[in-house]
Amino acid sequence: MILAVARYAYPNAKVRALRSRRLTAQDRHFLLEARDFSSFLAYLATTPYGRVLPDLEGEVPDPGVLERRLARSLMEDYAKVARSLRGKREQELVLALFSRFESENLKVLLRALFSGLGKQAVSHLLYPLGKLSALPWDDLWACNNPAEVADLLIRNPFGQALKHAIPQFNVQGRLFPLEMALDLSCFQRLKQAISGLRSRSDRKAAKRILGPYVDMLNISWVIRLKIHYGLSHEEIVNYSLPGGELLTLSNLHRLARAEDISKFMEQIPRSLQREIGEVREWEDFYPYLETWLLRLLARFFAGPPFHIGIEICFLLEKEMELTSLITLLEAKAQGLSPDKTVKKLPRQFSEVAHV
Amino acid sequence: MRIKRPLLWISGWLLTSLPCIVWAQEAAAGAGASTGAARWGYIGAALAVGASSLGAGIAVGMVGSAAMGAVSERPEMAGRALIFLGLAEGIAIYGLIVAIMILGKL
Repeated sequence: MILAVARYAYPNAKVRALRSRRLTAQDRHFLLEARDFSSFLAYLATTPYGRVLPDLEGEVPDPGVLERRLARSLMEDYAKVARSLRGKREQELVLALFSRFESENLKVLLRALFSGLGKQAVSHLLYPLGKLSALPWDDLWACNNPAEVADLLIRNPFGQALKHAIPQFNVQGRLFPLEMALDLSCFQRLKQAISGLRSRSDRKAAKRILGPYVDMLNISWVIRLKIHYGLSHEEIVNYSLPGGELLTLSNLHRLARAEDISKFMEQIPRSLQREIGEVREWEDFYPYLETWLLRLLARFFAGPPFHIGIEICFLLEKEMELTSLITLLEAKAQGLSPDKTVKKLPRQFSEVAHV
Repeated sequence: MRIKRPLLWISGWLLTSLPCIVWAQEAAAGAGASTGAARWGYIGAALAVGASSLGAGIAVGMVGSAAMGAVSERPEMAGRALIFLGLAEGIAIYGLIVAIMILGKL
């Protein structure tokens, strides 16, 4: 216990100080109720996110550009949390979580190569990763095709995953296998990082947080691959992420086979069903799942403090706040009403937004 | 690493408390108090100061590092952090008071 206190006193205090910079109930209310996009941005500039926004005087910036600018705040927090942890294995867990953003940038790079575009054309889609990313980005942008990217990253898990997926990419002539390979390699690394943690309480906490997170992603991926991509149930299960807690492989098979939303709901484990409640539309699933996960993360902050779970909870919570903010930003840019917007957000965002 | 760490703690504790015991015994001999009760009294006083200082050191180390973490993000919390550091430091003073009370009885 005393060793855990010594190990986590500094990072936990830092994380709690960083967490105090979340959007307040008042911020959420005024952002949700903003008349238009420019008044939304004017209010956003007064929140802790104002620091990363570009100069708002003059032309209203493009929402796409703003999304990545807002992500800078999350990337900075990742760097701070990773630096604050003492053990290499604990840092590896944060870096494994961070590798999801590296993978997103690699996907943008692959799409740019595939479409014959340069870095300048897609730079607004890239996450500002900063110094935390150890990938050779300049060399990667100098590559001419995905095979060269795989060769350059061969010593990295991304390179290995890409190398295995290149034959499928060549046969199918689309980037989907490469993109899935990148995602799967991130979560494989995450699973390894969890099992590599030194203390049992750290491993337990990390599993209890990241397991449900992976479940949430698996459910939303099943919906996406089934409804939007029309993949067969075998393919959907093949692309499911490792490391979930509630969903077993047979659960995923049944979810992928479900014909309609009511049958899909029946296949979700009962404990999760109770938490997410009644869902009637496919697009409602994600906000409901986010609500469930946010509730779970909040419970961790009220529990015993000295384990890696606090850092992971903070990073996931911040990421979900950013996702909600981006959803709100897009809704405001499209001129959606607050009533319609609130349905796309986790319940926590609207529940406390009445000031 | 798992074996080394407890060893480090034990050796740290011994290094801090043993000189206290030795000095207490020297003081007992120097004062001419040859009775067993007085000797144990001095040892008790030395242990009270030594162990409480060690405890305060550990507490200040932990509270201090947490304070640094919080203050690095929110400098306005420096005043509050100092209060908690003071509370941790107080542990050593409790030990000193107990030692003075013991010595007063001898």
